[in-house]
Formats: sequence, structure tokens, C-alpha cells
Amino acid sequence: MEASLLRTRRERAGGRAGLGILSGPAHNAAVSEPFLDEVKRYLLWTDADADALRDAHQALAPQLSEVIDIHYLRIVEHEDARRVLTGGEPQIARLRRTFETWLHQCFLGPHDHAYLELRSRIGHAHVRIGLPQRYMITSIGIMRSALRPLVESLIAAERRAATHVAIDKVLALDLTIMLEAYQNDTLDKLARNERLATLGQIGASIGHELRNPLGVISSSAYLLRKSVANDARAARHVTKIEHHVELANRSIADLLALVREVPPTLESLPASALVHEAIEAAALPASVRVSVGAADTSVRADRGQTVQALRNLLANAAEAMRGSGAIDVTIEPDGDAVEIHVDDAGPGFTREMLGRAFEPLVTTKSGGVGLGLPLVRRLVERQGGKVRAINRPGGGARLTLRLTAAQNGPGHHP
Amino acid sequence: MSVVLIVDDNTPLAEDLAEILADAGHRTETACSGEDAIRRVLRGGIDILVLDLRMPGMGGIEALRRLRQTGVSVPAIAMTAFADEATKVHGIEAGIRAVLDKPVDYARLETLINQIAA
Ligand code: HEM
Repeated sequence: MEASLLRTRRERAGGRAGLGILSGPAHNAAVSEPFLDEVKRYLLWTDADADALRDAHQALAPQLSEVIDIHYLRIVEHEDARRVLTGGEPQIARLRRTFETWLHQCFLGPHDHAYLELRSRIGHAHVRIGLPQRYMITSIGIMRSALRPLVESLIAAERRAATHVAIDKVLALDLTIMLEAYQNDTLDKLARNERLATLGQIGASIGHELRNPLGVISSSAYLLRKSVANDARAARHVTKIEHHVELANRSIADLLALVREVPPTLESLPASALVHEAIEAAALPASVRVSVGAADTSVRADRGQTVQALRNLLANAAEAMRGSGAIDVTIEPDGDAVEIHVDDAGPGFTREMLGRAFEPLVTTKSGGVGLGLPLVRRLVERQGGKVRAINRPGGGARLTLRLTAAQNGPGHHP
Repeated sequence: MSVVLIVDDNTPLAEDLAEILADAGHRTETACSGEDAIRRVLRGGIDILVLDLRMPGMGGIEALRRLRQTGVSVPAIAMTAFADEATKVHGIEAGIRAVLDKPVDYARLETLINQIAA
């Protein structure tokens, strides 16, 4: 990731032009040094700026915690911004410390490549948590406003102007680096999507091709079953054939559904009915228990697509628990949305997997190519909904569908 | 006893379906394309059609349409591997009694044929 950050846009374009279907973007392209220099030259960054910041730090340091207070106050007071803070007080305490380190380092430097790498890591961290880049831009503006009065009151008059200029430059430098991370992640995502679209089309046609032989295998197995009625061993093998044909058919169905664009038909539906339909469709093994905590509430959703999404979440939960344990489904109204949580008692996601759980071809399972959760996302986002994956504090994963609530309130559905 | 014509370009599948329906007590024949099916139906003696909607050349819908135009109204059961096609076709073609998703639910196919044949 860091390496890709140091590449210029030109090189990226070259890398993308040479994109092979299977090789993907060239992540290991030579690291180019000039990014930091280029930005610094544009900002007219000089040693005098670095000196001004270091000198100012002495006077400002005792007051910088005020700036940090302002930053976090803004976040927690803002209903949209605070959504990304999922870890409560302990997370804020931890973030305050990392933010403090960041702020002091802005003044102390050195503004070198290690500095650049740390900033790009910060940028990537925010991309990973899904923070829109507008919050980075506005936060930097807030920092600037918060630092201004401190400079006015704590810095000697003759050095004030130079300090303001240096602070403006260093904040611009940091913002540039962090936004570069955003842009690189976006380009990576685009390249990945392009690659997936191509792979998807190839996959879909192979899927269709495979359906013919699978159809024959299953019809032959059906006929065979009748002839082996008196042979327990042969019958067991017929069952195996049928089961595995079914698995193959499901994978193909998921793949095709992922590629196909079926416009959703939205209607008001009771959320609990969708959940129960999905539980039935999932046909989970008896060793998996599912409990449903149902609020009497309706969603505006496409029935077939939502049931398919929920069915996949249940299958995913069952697999995460290696086929036995308890799944808890809860339905929770939240303003103009309704959230359906599927909690499992499996090992949860690794940190690396957590942010990528809904990306195609990412899987921790030994079998399967990881199309289940991406399909869930596709099905839900198509209806204007959202998906989320977190680890529950007590262990296990929680996957959430966020759907639009039906307007006419709970219980009323035409 | 009804004669069922099974039309699918996947010939081994058509043969298996024929065998399954034969086990259920029906007489069966197979065809491998829309054109093939029309030729066979026009010769007479076919009571029920089971046909795939999408085949190379003439598909099931087109074959049915042409048969209707010539005044033939054999009841039909359609099969499709394309989920969205199933909803599109429903009710459009008079005489399509049911659309079965592929992979075919054989028990359901047997039941439907028995109902139509009864
Ligand atoms: C000038 C703007 C900002 C700076 C300099 C900054 C700084 C940082 C730093 C240093 C980290 C730790 C990164 C790491 O893991 O290496 C971090 C993480 C985080 N920041 Fe910010 N932040 C900024 C804006 C925001 C805003 C506006 C929000 C929320 C609305 C936010 C929410 C978070 C969260 C939730 C994490 C945790 C990420 C994780 O757990 O991996 N940040 N930030």
C-alpha cells in the first residue's frame, strides 16, 4: 500500500493501461521518490517553515490539547461523523493519543519520507473505516481555525505571520498526502472492479456452460436413485452426488446473480417474514440453531433479493461456526431505516478481513471462492440499503443489513 | 396415456427427463430444437410439451408462438435456467401452464404432467 502511494498519477495510468485480466494492477511498480518533493516545491516549503514550526511548538505545546478537544468534540457532536466511531470511549481515548502524536509531529517534523509514510497510513486508515474524504478536508480547516487564536496569543508579534504561513503549509501538506491515499484507494478499487467485471462475464458464461452437465448429472442421479433403492451404499453415494450438485448449482446461481443486473421491485414487507423465509430457504443443518428477536416493523425492499441476501448471511454464519452453534437474528428499527443483524458464534473476522468482508474473491473458507457476501452487498445496495460487518465485543461476527423502513409504519403493509 | 415431447438442446438431459416421465407411466419423445419440435408436433400425436425457453436457433417461446399461429394449442411446461426469464414469460404465452427453473425439480415436473394428463 505504502509503495503504491508514492507512485505518481502518470505511472498509475501506465500501470492500468497494461492491466492484464488476471494479473491486475501492477502493485509492485517501482516506488517513485518525487511525490513529497513535488508537493513541497508547489507549497514553496522552505527550511524556514520547518524552523518556524519547531520554534512555535515550544509556545503552543501546552495548549495543543485544546485543539484535540475541538477535533473530537466536533466528531461526537456530529451525527454522521460519529457513526464511524464504533468503539466507544476506549476508542476515542486511543485515537486522541494517536492524534496528539500526529499534531506534535506536524510541528516537530522532520518532514521527510517517514513523515510521508505515516500520513499515508493515516489516510488509508480513514479509507478503511469508510470516512468520506470531505471530513478530512473539513477537519483540516477546523485545525487551522483552532490553531489561529493560539498563535495570536502565544507567539511573539514579529514571528506570527511566518508561523501562520508555516502552519497553513504543513496542514496543506498533510491533507495532500492523506487525500492521495484516498485517491489511490479509489483507483485501486476501480481497477479491481474493472477486472471483476471482466472476470464476472467470463465466470457467468462458464457458469452457464456448467449448468448443462450439472443438469444431466442430477437427472441421472434421480433415475439412478430408483434403481439402487435396495443398495444402501449406492444410495448413500447418490445422495452425495445430489448434495454436491446442489452446492455447485448454488455457487453458479450466486455468481450469475452477482453479474446480472435485476432491478429491484420495492414493496412494504414485514422484516420478520423476510427473515423467516430466508431461514427456511437456507436449509441449515440441524446443528445450527437460529433465534429471531423480531420487532414488528416493515421494510421497503425487494422480497426475492432480500431473502437471498439474508439466506447468504445465514449460510455464511453457519459456515463461520463450522456447521454448529447458535445464530441470533435481531431486527432493530433505527430512524428511517431498519437494521437486521445476523450474529454468529464463530471466530469473528481478522482485522485484515474486517474491512474487506464484502469484497469479491476474498474468503477465509477452504472451499468456495467468496461470492456469498459480495452478492449480499450487491443485492442490498441495489435497493438503496447498506451492509456492515463488525466483530462483536463478546466474540463472533455481526453482519448487518440496513434497509429503508416502510413509510406507513409497522404493521401496515398493502 | 399421454405423449410428452421434451424439447431441450441438452440432449442427454432431454433423454433423462423422458426416462423419468416414462417411469411415471407416460409415453415420451425428445426433440433438440424449436424447429425440430414444430416439425414433430405438426405430425400429430403430441399431448404435452416440455420445452426449454432458450435454445440455439429457435427457442421455446418462438416455437410455441408459431405453433399457436398454426392453430395448435398443445399445453406446455417451460423450463429455464434464467431466473428473470421465468417472470417475463409467465402468462404471456397462452398454453404455458408452468415455468420450471433449471435445475428442474423432477418431482414437481411429474406432478404437473400428471395434472395436465388427467
Ligand atoms: C485532520 C484530520 C484527522 C487526522 C489527522 C486523524 C488522525 C488519525 C490517526 C493518526 C489515526 C490512527 C491511524 C492508524 O491506525 O495508523 C486515526 C484513526 C481513526 N480516525 Fe482519524 N484523523 C482525522 C480525522 C478524523 C475524522 C474526521 C474522523 C471521524 C469522523 C476520524 C475517525 C478515525 C477513526 C474511527 C480511526 C480509527 C481507525 C482504525 O481503527 O483503524 N478521524 N485518525
